Amino acid sequence: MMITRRILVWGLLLGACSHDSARTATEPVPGDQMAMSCPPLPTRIWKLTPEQYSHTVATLIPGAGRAGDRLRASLFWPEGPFRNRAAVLAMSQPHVDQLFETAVWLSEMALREPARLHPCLASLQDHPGCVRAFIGSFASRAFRRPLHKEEEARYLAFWDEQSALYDTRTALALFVRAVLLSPHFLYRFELGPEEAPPGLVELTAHERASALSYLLTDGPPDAELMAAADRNELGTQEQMVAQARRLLARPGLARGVDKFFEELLQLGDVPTLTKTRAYFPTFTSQVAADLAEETRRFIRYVLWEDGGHLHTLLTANYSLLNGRLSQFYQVPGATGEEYVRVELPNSRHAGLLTHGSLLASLASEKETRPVARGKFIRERLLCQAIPPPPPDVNAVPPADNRMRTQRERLARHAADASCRGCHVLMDPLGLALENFDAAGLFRTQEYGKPIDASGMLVGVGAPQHFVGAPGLAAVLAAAPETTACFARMAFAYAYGLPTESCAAEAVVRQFAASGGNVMDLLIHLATAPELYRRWRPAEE
Amino acid sequence: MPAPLSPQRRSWNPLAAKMSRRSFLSAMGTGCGVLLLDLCARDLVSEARAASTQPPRRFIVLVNGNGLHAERYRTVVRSETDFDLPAILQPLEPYRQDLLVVQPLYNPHNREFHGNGWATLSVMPSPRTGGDEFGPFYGLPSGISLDRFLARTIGAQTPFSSINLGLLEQNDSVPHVSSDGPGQAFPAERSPVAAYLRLFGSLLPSSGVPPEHLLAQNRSLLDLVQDDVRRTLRRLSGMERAKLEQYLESLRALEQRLARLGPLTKACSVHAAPEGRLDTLQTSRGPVRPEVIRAHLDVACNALQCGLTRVVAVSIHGNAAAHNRYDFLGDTRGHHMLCHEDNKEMLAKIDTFIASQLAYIWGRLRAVPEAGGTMADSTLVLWMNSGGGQHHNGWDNHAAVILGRLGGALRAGRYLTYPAGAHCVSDLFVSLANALGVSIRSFGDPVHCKGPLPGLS
Repeated sequence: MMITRRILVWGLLLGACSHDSARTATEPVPGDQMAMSCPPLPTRIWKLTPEQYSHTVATLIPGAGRAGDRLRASLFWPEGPFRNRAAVLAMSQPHVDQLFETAVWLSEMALREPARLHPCLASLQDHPGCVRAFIGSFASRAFRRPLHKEEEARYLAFWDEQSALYDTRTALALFVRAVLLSPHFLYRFELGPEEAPPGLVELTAHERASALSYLLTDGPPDAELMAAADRNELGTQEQMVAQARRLLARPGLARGVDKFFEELLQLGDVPTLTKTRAYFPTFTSQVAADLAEETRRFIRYVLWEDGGHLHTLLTANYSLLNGRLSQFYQVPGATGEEYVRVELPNSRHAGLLTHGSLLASLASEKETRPVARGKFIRERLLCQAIPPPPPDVNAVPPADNRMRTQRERLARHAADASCRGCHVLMDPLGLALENFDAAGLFRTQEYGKPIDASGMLVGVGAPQHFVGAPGLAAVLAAAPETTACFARMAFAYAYGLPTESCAAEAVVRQFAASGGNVMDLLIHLATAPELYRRWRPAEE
Repeated sequence: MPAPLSPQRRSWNPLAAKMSRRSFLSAMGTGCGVLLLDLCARDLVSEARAASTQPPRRFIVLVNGNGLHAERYRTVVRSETDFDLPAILQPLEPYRQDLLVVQPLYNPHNREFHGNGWATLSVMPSPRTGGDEFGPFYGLPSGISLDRFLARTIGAQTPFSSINLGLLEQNDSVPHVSSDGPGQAFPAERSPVAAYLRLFGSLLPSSGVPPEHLLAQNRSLLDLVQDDVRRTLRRLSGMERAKLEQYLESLRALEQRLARLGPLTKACSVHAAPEGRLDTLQTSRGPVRPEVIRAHLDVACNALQCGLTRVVAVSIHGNAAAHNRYDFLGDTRGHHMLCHEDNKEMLAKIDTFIASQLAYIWGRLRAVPEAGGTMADSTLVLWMNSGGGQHHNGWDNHAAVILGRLGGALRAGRYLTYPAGAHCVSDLFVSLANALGVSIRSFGDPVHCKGPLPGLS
């Protein structure tokens, strides 16, 4: 929905929000005891997202590019911040049509230059041995596991049948399509050994390899991880941790980490943001793209080079800027294309909350949207849901006379008891960021009036007073609720599950115990033995 | 007194107001299982029709959003058949004898802040899964929509059981209007060019291979894949099993389609592709592009004409409360804001534009001779707005604008007023399905459906 206007008048919220009774996010529970008592996650199949499809196909068919972009009907309404919810990814007819069309397109492209698939296919002459070797290796790489004997036999029989009827190229194309449409390719299997009876099962080595790899790299296991799985060397947490550390060694490999933050912080649309030229002449489409890149670089820098703590992400008084952004923000320190660490004034900036990417996306083309900013903090950083206004409210925004400040315009929310219940949770947080305009640029005045960015954080422990973005960031970074929420979000992303569950709470405790170290959290999510132990239900 | 709620920790539970499979099935009012539906649904189409040589019955539904206030469709009604055409329906004046206006109807699952895109054609509740300051979002459908239900009945024998065209990206995070059941959204195609390629370009690779070879190849390929899926199914139960069952069902439909396309090649190849520029002209958040809507309608009418499909759904932001502007009508505020500001003049212009799209469809259908008459004789066109009243909270004042007589199955040329609150939208849907030869007694939420709307036929 195109959002161009702020709705200022909220309606009656019959007791729907009340900060007095705010639940504390972390209740003291003995860690081990809880971890032991969590019911295991269920076995399941988990469909590849379009990005994972792209990354997987790219390892099978060189030059395939972003084939997953063709699967536009695949993801539907993303449930929560993340688009990988296992329960939501469905096989609608339009989606299956696109899977078929994409498989046809990929197979035709691949067979235009068969040597790219396998060197021995260069001449497409009859090398029975070559084709057979290719069939086994292609399917096994596509399925991220060795083929069962009987599976291989079926593919070979299919090949024999088709190659007897048609030319080699056609028969090979049909085989490639069959693999690209197989559920073993399209889904990640988390079912445990095939012969295991219902009850508690351990995921197989190859299932673990995929789980680890798709979480951290958003793509299939690389050769080394596959080899470790083949040797059954992923059975202990130490072995898993070693692999996880290897995959996390270079930020460029860890596409899954980028993806998590991109979806959590809604950064996907930032490069296409536009602002009204008359108000924000320096906000060009190049700047919009740079802003998204700034945030990605900053997160990588904190994670890989500055200790990796959530606290730093939220409070750092530096960012990573290139020359254009240095000019845009009017902060000296960078020139040219390269992104470098630039120190920012302490009194103004604080971590992610003051990134232009976030501030500009939580704003209209002309004006800030304090309610949206506050709501974002509540929902994405504190995991506290704000109910929508009730049905009987017609929220008509007053004409925009460009005279009143946001705080003045939102005053009614504080004055009207029926609005206050919810808006006291959002408005003060959003107003704390009023020193940053709709483009994310620092300002001290709005319509010639000084900005008051002070406020009170309620509903998170005892009410706390703060001043401006740095004050708010400091209060949030210190709150155990923020730490807990981040761990819940990471859990939800890592497992394609809701944010709330016993298993998620165990992760929350681990994250708190690590002092909020994001790298440790990722490694824990990728390797914790209890997450690889699953419950397999009996047949219906 | 309701317990005060704390700011809840958000739970992203997909089917928070979960329906069990069984309650969904009973809600369908047909007793057919999701997977059996295809088989079972075909039986619902009257035998007489299936056996006859009459032209097939077809259905087109056009859904838009932001509410249609009663003041814009109320008019002077001297009797059912003697009424002044409401101003917004003036484009339909030439087709008055085929026109049926039915109002007011209620949709019990459309009460929320901005209406509910999923409920419009499914008349089922759908769980609220989030929202922003502009209102709630409805994550997932919880029932089958009318167009998809008809797809499984009157559309079951065509290559495309139904087609769905719209103005949003398929993966846009806004509900569309069509669904196959709980959690099973049926997305709309945004690009008329892509829609054309899917429908007419044929799914087959163009390698100069004889068509009978391609058919045989695709059959063996899909047999192998389906075998693969069946073997995997044995290892799954519950929701996990349902995921692959849906895949299997879609694969079967795909296989059937490929087989059915062949004979239609000649009749369908006469239709040209839309202009290439229309491929990306309509963006999810950009202004409404009338030329894209027109191209959608042409693709749809052509597909109906040559037998590729019998059921079409077109969504012009049928998802509740879009902000997109109608620039070409002089709108500078966006449809949503026009409603907030109660800009009657602009809203009437938009409604009139929608009515003119119906008129265009009807004119096209009437121009195609078929079985001694025209295609219009065997087609039903329905226009619904996802909001039944003024923008926000308009759930009890829905108007349905219908074109078509279906050889007397419907008595058209009338403006029907029912007692307020007497009939649910689903009653009308039952009547329309019946008129199309599909014998059902209930649709959508069984609690609210009383059966066919009296007085339609």
